[in-house]
Amino acid sequence: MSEHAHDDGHGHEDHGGIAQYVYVFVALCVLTGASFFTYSEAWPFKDEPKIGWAFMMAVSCTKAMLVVLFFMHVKYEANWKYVLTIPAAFMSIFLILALVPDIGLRGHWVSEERQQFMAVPRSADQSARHDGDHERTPAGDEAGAADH
Amino acid sequence: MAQAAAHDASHEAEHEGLQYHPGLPIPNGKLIVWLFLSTEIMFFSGLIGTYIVLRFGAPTWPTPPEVHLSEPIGAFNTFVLICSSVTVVLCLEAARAGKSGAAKGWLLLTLALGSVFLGVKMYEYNAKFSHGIYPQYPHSQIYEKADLHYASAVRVRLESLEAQLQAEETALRSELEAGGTPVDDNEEMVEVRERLALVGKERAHAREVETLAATTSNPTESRAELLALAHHIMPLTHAHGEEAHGLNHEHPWLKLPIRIPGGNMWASTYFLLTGFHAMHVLVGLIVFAIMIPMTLGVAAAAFVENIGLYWHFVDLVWIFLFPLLYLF
Amino acid sequence: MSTISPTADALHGDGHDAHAHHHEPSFIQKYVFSTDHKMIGIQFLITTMLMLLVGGALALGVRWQLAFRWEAMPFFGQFFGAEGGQISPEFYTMLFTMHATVMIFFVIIPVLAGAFGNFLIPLMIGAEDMAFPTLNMLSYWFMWPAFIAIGASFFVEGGAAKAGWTSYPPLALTDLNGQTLWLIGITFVGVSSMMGSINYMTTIIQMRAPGMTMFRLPLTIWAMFITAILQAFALPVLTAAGFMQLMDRTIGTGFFIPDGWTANNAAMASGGGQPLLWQHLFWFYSHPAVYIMILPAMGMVSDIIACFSRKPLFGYKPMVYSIAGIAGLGFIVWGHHMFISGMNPWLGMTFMVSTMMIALPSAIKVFNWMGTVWGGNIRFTTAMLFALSFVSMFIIGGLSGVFMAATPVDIFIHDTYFIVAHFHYVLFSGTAMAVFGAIYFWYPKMFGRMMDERWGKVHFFLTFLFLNGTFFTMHILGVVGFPRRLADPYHYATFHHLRPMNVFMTWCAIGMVATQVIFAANFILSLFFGPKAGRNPWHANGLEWQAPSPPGHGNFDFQPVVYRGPYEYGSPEVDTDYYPQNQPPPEPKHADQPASTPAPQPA
Repeated sequence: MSEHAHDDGHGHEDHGGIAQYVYVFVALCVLTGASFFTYSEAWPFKDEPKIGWAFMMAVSCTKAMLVVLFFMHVKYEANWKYVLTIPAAFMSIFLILALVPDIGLRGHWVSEERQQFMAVPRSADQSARHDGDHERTPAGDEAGAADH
Repeated sequence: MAQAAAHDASHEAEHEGLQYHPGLPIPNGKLIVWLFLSTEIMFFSGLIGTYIVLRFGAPTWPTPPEVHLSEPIGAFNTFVLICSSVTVVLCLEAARAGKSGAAKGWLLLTLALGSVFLGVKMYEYNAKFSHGIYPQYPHSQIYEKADLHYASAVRVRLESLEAQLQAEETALRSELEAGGTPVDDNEEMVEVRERLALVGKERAHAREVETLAATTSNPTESRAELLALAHHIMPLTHAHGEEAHGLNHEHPWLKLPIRIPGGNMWASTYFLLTGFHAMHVLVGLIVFAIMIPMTLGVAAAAFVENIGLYWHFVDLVWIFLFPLLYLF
Repeated sequence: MSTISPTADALHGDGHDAHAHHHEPSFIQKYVFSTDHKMIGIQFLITTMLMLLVGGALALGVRWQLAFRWEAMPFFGQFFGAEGGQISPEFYTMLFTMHATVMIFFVIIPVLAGAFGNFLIPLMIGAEDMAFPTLNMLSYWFMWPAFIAIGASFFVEGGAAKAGWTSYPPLALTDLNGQTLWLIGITFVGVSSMMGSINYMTTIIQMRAPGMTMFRLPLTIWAMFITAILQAFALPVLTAAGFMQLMDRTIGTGFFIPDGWTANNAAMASGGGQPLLWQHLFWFYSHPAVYIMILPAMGMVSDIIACFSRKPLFGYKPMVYSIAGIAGLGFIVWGHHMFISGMNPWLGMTFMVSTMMIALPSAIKVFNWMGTVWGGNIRFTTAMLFALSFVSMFIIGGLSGVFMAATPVDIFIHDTYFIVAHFHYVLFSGTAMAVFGAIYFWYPKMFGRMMDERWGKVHFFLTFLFLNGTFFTMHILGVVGFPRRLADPYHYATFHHLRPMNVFMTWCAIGMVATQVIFAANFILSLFFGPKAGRNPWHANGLEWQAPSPPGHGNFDFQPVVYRGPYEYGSPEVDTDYYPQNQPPPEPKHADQPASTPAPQPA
């Protein structure tokens, strides 16, 4: 084992160095700031949360790549890295995608009976509350739930 | 055996030193850690996938202020974990260079940063528990919608508060009377009576709403009343940073049941994901603690690399959890 | 010291520990907390055979009720506690749940991966032990908390789990404490298998003998390798799902609890969970688990058939690719268990097509086995009989699988005895028969003595007869619509006429269990009285047959170097009809037979 650690040390010396870690660290901090930026007032797409989600996921994937490539030294490994990382990445994405039709979109096929017990979409709830505070219109929140 | 004797192996190996033909140019320890990490990827993709489909399939989801989730704290914790990733990689570099003292220093720093992360996590959990947000039915105060169940839960809570305050008042009165002090001016007494009055008023209101909801032939009308009650206790909030100025906020001691649409599933997934992540952090910290007495020289570099890989993976999971849980 | 210290452990990986095994091991070190892969394999084998007894007893309970409903069961009835040995409906559901649980998680998976995987992998690839012996030991001892949890669950209030081995919520959430213990047990089994599988992969990748390229590996090793990959990718998902169900049951999260669900007139915590989520996550593991339960058996059968046909295995590479193909497809077919669950019909279509595709690599394997036997100089040893019966029974079990892959057919036969027939044909007539064959085949290597062939053949023929009596009839019941998982199907007048057939099946099942006494006696008595086996009693080619029987610590008393694949039977290069993997090729091309070729060991 010790011999190996030695070989390993030699194999790794030509890459990176402390300066590289510092660059990666700064990049990670900037990227964290970037995803945190969606939370600030200056973020321009407040009304369209999907843009923010896509942006944050892109940022997270970039950060993950940086950590994997430089901190976990995958950039400097031989080809075995693909054998291990690609199937795992593929399987995990596949698993999540396969759950989408049944669970991710479950609201589309839900029965009216079940809807009576489900939480009410926020918009319907809010409007019903404002109505309730003032004049009590007949538009309940079930109507809102039904068209969701 | 004849077989073995006939063998033209270049040398007679004593049984401990068999020669192998390794398939990959890395030590076994590193390979098994990578394989272990791929099982971990599947584990967390099961958990995160569950969160994603449950969350985006849900009719509604709580906003961070409703569930007392603080984005800046989350961002701080992200920063802490990134720092610890850097320190662990610097520890590895130091170990490879044979500077075991420096390696020890980086290791201790990593341990400290990991502990900070867990400390902040505990603080966050506490903030949720203190507002009645548990993933647990005997304690959780979260109701999905303002309905009859909710109104009766509010009424039951207020009744038990009333009984408790009345007992408190009686005890206080007898204590004061025994001491001979005037009862009505006593500061404590005034407060208890104020609370009692508030609870009495709210209880009457809750009972009224409950009765209406239980008996009315016009569900729309009772629904409006129920929603008004829920709003009165804790209004829903829209934006980041906005505070909910309801009864529960003004009088934190009330701890009335709260209506958070989607709140139970939020609590389930939040505690599941952060809980398993925190457990992984804890395991890493335990290994770091075990490593403290070791000499982190060149000989230990392979070991430092392996635990470093694990630690980076834990960081990696958090990189995805932070936006998914805090910012989405 | 070799280039890679094989005994260095994952987390305590410094070379100093490696010298510990110079000391003479104490009894505890040698037989209980042993780090020797052979001892761990034998520990797994003995444990799973004991568990087979438990699972078999539970199965007899099920059969008894189906044949002689509500009658007190003799002998086993005294353990039931209630009503003088009578089986209540709740007890019946517990019986089939625990029968499946014990058989799948405590018998089949550990006997394949745990017993044979452990014993064979280092021997067949020419390694002295697993890459991480301590981790290997832990993977055995992590089974014990599972045994204890599942064992204890029989004695808690309400008895053991009763929601079926699939544990579908919301039913599984209403069950009493037995289900919680079940989940804990499954988690421990999962951790054990996970430790085993990453260890196997590391060992197979890194510790092959010089010359042992990937395409010179015996198919057993290929199957074990791909099974380990399946476990590593699929098991964590079950562990995650199991934790979620555990949390739903204990601390009250709501992942699988639908809105507005009430049980026993009390509303449960409602959070908008989704019971289908469990089914997806569960089958994401449990369908690949079906292949975890058959692929190693296929690998071992390939080795046995090639050896006793005295012919090279027909189509070695297609066999390897078809194992990989079955495993790859196995990941994308889990939805065929859920055709009537209310799953999105689009998914149903996708899963139907991908499931049908599995028939292709499976058929490649079957035809290659036939091609191997064709024209061979067949030796009908007990192991060969079991292997041949595996092939023929797998055809029946595999073809009935094609029926239920088709959604329209599955809607009719779902939850009938046709399903039960299918998986018993694959798992008992298939895997269990292959395991019996493998025991007869590798017993000389494990214990240094031969098992009795005559009694082995009696064991084979009786088992074969009785298993077909028990399981083939299930197809007929299933097509009629006889439902599974009902304590009293005769409650419906439609099924009254099926009663005599069920009585016949029950007698066959009793006969099958009784037959195993022959096997147990043969196994135990051969330990002491069996004829001593030489290194290579079957004249096989694999590296494991060149080591001493039983191999000592470190396995090989020479450095194995591999020159060829494991199936060179009847090679023209040598006089003998076998050509061990490590035997150097004859130097002069014209020389008919160098004198250095060892004389075959007398069997």
